[in-house]
Amino acid sequence: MAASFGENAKPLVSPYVAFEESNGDVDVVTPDATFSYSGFGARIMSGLKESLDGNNRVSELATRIGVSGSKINEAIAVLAEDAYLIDLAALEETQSSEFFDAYFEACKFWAKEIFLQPFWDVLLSGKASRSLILGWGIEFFHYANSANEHMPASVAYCRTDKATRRLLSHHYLEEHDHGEMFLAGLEACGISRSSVIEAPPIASTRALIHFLSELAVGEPAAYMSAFGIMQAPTANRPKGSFNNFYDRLERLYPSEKGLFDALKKHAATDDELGHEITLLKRFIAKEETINPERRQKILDAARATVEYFVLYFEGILDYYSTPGVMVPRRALDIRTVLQDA
Amino acid sequence: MASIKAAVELDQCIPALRWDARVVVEGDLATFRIDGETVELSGTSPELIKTIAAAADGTKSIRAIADQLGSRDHVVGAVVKALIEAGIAVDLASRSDNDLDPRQFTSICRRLFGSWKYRLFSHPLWELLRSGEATKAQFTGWLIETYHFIEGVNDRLALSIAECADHRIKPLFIRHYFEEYDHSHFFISALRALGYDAALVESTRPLPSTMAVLNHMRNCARRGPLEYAVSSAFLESAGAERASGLTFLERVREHYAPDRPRVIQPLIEHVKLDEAYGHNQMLELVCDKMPRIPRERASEALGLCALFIETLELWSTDIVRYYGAPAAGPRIGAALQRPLRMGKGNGSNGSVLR
Repeated sequence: MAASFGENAKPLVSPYVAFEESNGDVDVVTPDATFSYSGFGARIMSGLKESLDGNNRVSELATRIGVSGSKINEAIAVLAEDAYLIDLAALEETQSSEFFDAYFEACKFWAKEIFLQPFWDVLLSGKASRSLILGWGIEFFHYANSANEHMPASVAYCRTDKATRRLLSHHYLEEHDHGEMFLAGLEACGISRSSVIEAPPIASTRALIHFLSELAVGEPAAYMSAFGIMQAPTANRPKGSFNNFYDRLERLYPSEKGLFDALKKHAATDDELGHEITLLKRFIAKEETINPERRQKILDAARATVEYFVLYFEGILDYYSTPGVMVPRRALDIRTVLQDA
Repeated sequence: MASIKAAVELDQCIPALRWDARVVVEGDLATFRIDGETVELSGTSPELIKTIAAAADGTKSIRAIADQLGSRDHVVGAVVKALIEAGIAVDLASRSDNDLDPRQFTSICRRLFGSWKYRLFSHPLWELLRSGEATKAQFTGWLIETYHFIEGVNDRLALSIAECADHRIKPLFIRHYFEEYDHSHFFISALRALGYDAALVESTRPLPSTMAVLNHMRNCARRGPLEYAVSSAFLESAGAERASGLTFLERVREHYAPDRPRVIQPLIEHVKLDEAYGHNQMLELVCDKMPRIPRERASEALGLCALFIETLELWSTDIVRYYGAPAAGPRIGAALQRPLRMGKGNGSNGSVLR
C-alpha cells in the first residue's frame, strides 16, 4: 500500500534516487527505474529535488513552488509506490493501525539499502566464486538456525502477557527447524552437515545474531519490529515470485544447484507460513493507540536491523572473497596449537 | 615433528589442519598462509594438496582420507607429513586429550595474542590514523566509537559479574569493574576539546559494529568467566603496549590536533592509568582459580577470542567505511540512511532475509 501524501505529509526521498535535469525535463532515476517528467511535472520535480528531506510538509512545499498539494502528491506517488519515498509525519501516528502501516512502508524503504549492497552485484554477475556462494549458504544457515537462539529467548523473557508469549512461541515453533533445509542444500554441494554445524559463523553473521538475541530479551515490540524488515520486501508479492531469482542463480551457477533448490524450498515454506502478516501488527493491534516511547523503540529497532543486514552481506563478500579461505571455516581446536606451548 | 613411514601410521595419524590456515593454488604451487607466514608446497598437483588439506579435519585417518578422495595412501601420507612439518597441520593422535593445566592454557593465549595483535593493528584504520591519511570525519568517528566502546564496559563487564557463578573469580571481575566503569570520561574530555559537548557525544548512536564488539563480550559473559576472561585479556594485552600506544597517540596528535593538546592528553592519561592498574594479568589471576581446564572448554574460550579478533577487525573496517563516506558525521538522532558504498541494485529477492 503506497502512502497518499496529504497537506501535512513530510516526504523523505531515498538517497539512492537521483534527479537529472536536461532541457527543462527531469529524469528521476532510482536503482529500479527512471521516471521522466516534462512540462508542469518537470517544474514540480525540479522545485522539489532539494526539499524532499523529511523536514518540509507538502503544504509548505506547495506554497514554495506555487502548485497545489494534490499536484505534488500526483508527482511523487510513483516514487512512494516503489518504496523510494516515505512520509515521515506518518511515523508519528498515534493510532496503532495507522502507525503500523507507516512503519511497514518505512521497512520497505529502509530495506532497499540491503539489496543495494555490492554482494548482489557480484552474485548476479555470474562471477561469484564457489567459495562466495557456498560461504553465503553457510552463513545463511547460521542465520536461519539462530532462530534457536533469539526466538526461544524472546519467549523466555516475554513478561508482557500470555497472549504475546503465545505469539512468540508459535513463531518459534514454525521456524525452529528451517536450518535443516540449508544443511540438505549444502550437502548436495558436497559439504558435510557436521562441517557446516561446526563452522563458526563469520563476525558479521554473529553480529546480526547477537543483535537479534539482545533485542529478544528486551521490549517485545522492538524485537518484533526486526521481522518487519525481513518481511516487508516480499509483502504483496504473489506466492512463488522468488522462483525467477533462484532459477537465474541456477543458470549462472549450475554446480551449486543443490543449494539454490534448498533456498527455494525455504522461501516456499516461508510463503506457506504467511509471515507477511507480521508479529508486530498482531501485537500492537491489541491497543488502539501507541505511545511515543514504544513507537521510537520500534523504529530504532527496524533501522538498526537494516544496518546489521548491511554488515552481514558486507562481511560475507569481504570474507569469502579473500583468497584461500577454507570453506567451511574450522573451529579452533586447542590441540592444534599445543605444540609450541 | 611427525613422520609418516610405517603403513600402520596411515591408520593411526589423524591430521587436523589449523583452523586459521588459508591456501591458494597458483601454477604448480599450493601456498599456505598462517600467522602471517607463507609456506609453499609442490611435488604433486596443487589442487590435490588443497583437497587433502581440506579433508584433514581431525576426524579421519590418512587412509580414510585417501579412501574418501580416491587417492593413493602414500601420496596423501606425504602431503600430510609436509603439512605437519610446516606447522600447518598436527596429528591429533599424538596430542593429549587431557584437561589443560591453567598455566599451559594462559601460555598458549599469550603466544596467540602476539600474532593476533599484530594482525589487528595491521588493519588499514590504524595506518590511516598513524599516517594522517584518515579524514577528519574518520578521526572524529574513531574517537566517538571508542567512547562507546569504553563506555560499553558497563554492558559487558557488569554482565560478567552478574553471570559469574564462581565465588573465587567474581571478586576479580568486581575489582576490575570498579577500576574501569567510568573511563569513558577520558574520551568525553577528548571530544569536548574537539568541540563536541558531552550531551551530544552521549546522544550519538554507535555503529552496529561497535555494538557487535560489546554484544560479543556479553555473549562471552553469559557463557562463563573463562570465556569472558580470555577475550577481555586480549583487550587488556592490546592496551598494555604502552610505548607503542603512546607513540601512536603522538602521531595522531601531530596530524589531527597539533594546536589542541587537550584532545590527545586524556587518551595518554587513559593509557597510563590502565597500565598502572595492571589489568593485563587478569587472565592469569582467573585461571589460577581453576584447577584444570577441560580441553573442549579451552578450545571454546580461545575460539571465541579468535572470533573476537575478527569482530574487532569488522569494527575497524566499519569505522573506515562509514566515516569515510561523503558527508558522514556523528550519528545523531534517528539517522535514516547509512552513507555506504552502493551496488548497482540489479535486485535480488526479499526471501533471503527470512
